[in-house]
Amino acid sequence: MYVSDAAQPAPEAAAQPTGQWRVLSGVRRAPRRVIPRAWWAVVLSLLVAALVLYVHTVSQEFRLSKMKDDLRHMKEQLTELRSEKAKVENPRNIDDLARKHLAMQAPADVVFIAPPKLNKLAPANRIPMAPAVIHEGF
Amino acid sequence: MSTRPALIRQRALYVLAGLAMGTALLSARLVYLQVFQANKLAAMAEAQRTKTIDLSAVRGEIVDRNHKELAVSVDSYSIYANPKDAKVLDASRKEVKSFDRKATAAALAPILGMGAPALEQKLQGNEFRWLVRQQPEAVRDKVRALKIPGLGLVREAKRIYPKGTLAATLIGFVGVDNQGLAGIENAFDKVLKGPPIKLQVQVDAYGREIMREGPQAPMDTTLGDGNQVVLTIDENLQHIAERELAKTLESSGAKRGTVLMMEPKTGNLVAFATLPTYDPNNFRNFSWEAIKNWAVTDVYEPGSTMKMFTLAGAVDNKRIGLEQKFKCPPYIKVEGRLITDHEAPTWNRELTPFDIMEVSSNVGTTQIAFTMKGAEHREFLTRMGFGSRTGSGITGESKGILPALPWRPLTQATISFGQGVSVTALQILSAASALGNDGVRMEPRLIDSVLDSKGKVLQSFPPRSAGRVMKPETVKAMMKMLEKVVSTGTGVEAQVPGYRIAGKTGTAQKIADNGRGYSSDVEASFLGFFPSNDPRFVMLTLLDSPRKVHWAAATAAPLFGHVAAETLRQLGVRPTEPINANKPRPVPKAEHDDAH
Repeated sequence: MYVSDAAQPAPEAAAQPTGQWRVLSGVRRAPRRVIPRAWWAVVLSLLVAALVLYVHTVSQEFRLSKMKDDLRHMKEQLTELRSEKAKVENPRNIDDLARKHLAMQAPADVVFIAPPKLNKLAPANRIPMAPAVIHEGF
Repeated sequence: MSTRPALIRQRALYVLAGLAMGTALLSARLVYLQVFQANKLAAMAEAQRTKTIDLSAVRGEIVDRNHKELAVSVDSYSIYANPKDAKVLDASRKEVKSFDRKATAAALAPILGMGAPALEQKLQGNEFRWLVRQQPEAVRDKVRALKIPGLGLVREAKRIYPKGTLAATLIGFVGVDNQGLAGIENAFDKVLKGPPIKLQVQVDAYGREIMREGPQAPMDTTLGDGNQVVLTIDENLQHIAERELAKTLESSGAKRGTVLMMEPKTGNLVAFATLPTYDPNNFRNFSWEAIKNWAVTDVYEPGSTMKMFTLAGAVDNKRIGLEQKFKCPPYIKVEGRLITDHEAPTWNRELTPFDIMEVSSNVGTTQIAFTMKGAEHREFLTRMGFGSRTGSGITGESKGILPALPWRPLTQATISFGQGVSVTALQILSAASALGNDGVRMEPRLIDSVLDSKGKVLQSFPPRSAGRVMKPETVKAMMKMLEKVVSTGTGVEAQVPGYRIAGKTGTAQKIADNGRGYSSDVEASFLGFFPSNDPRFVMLTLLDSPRKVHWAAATAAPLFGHVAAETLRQLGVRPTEPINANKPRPVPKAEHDDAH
């Protein structure tokens, strides 16, 4: 039997009642909107992450450079201080300070006062004495 | 016949094909450049816009055996002018010169502490020139703040000798470009300099360096450290030696003097004092006579200190017995020349080797020398290191003069008591070290090790022996003789209460300036060991041309005694002998070194 096309209902239309069509169409469109939003969120979060990473890297670089600079300054100061320390530790300076401020004498410069009896001995038999060193004020 | 649209289509096709071919060629070229030539081109580009400069490491320190600094480097800044670089762009973007010499000089003068006219004079011309070198950081900051185009700063290390004149002749000094010019600074220049830092800097189209701020800029780079040289010198003992030597130079009126102290068991030189000296921080203000290390460069006739080696040779070769007696008249004749003992009695004396050493008899020593053949005598002296360098490695060291064989009797006679032979102070000290080390001679050792900046040992210099040069029995006999010299002979002034000391005085006439005969000046010396029961140190005190007092017994011997006493006290060496303060010290016996 021959049936015209117009008389026959569309298979989808027959399978899907008009009342449910709008609901279903809404369900179908929903994934189309969700995917781009997620995509943007990913891109955005990547951008934010990149930005954070960049800022962090720059700040760390800045910090590193500052630390290097501090290290250099400290090294300079250390060498200066070592040099100062070495100057202060100069045995000659210590010797001079001990004589000047503490009235100390080198053992060879210590003055012995010989008893009168010993002084009467012939010069060759006296205990040899180092020349007396008397500083002003002592 | 083709229609017009077909013709157009055909031509368009040709054009498209041409374009496609061009694009393909360009793409191929691009691939060639970007892929195959990428590294080469990148390197070329890098080379075009950057240049590598070598920044010298901070010169390493020189320290004593206890790691006390003797030479250090601190950062400093040098200021230069390069008027060629002083260009700025005018309104029409054209480069114009803008170096105002007068204004620059006026601005810099108060900072550099120089007169503005003098500074302006220095700024004349267009070429690069240094204005001041090695200035402190404060000056750098002030100059930087001026922001004058054409002025620049370079960071470099400045060498400082914090102990001033201490061991200056040994340490040496550096020039303004930190190159070692003398002493250890010169001998260990490469070691102290350390490896340079390679720094890449950006340059402009003319190849001029673009000075950038930040850690990569040359001014702000942390420089590497050079290597540290550790000496065997002890700065405290060095100070004692220098202080006592200075006192003796003043009291004796000597032209110059030296005190060398060595550990005979290792060869370590612990004190190396020479006076007059100089301040290496201002070495330009001193003459070369003060700067040179004459204890190793100059030779002298050792005089009676040589007698210990003559007697040691004869004893070691078993040519004499220790109790053998020698007839010693007031003088003897050798090849028509008189050899005398000054102030000797007019009668013939019978002297043992101990007595000969004690009274320092030339006549007796000559007779002992004659018991050996010339070759035998010379071979012994060669074994002791005379006539060759000591191996200390000190720059400019002399070999001394030991006459070649055959020896005439007069040559052997004069050499036996230290004339006709020339030695350096270090050489005779090194020879004597054998007596302090049971007959094994050690080479003088001045450098202990080289350390890197982290303290890791890069190179060590272990003690080096020149081998056994005499028998232990000879050493024992010689030490007894030398102890007698100090206890009752010419060296009594070298005594140190509580310790056994051994040694020998020497007062040798100096060769006249014209090289003919001898002058009235003398070299007074004392070569000894302390404590002599187990020598820790061998020391030479030498005074050149003492004026006020002539004899070594009254100049070099007391100097030895003072330095030895202080050294033993400093090191806390316990006395081994009872100290009797009431025991009168014997008067030193005269010594006799004149060969007529």
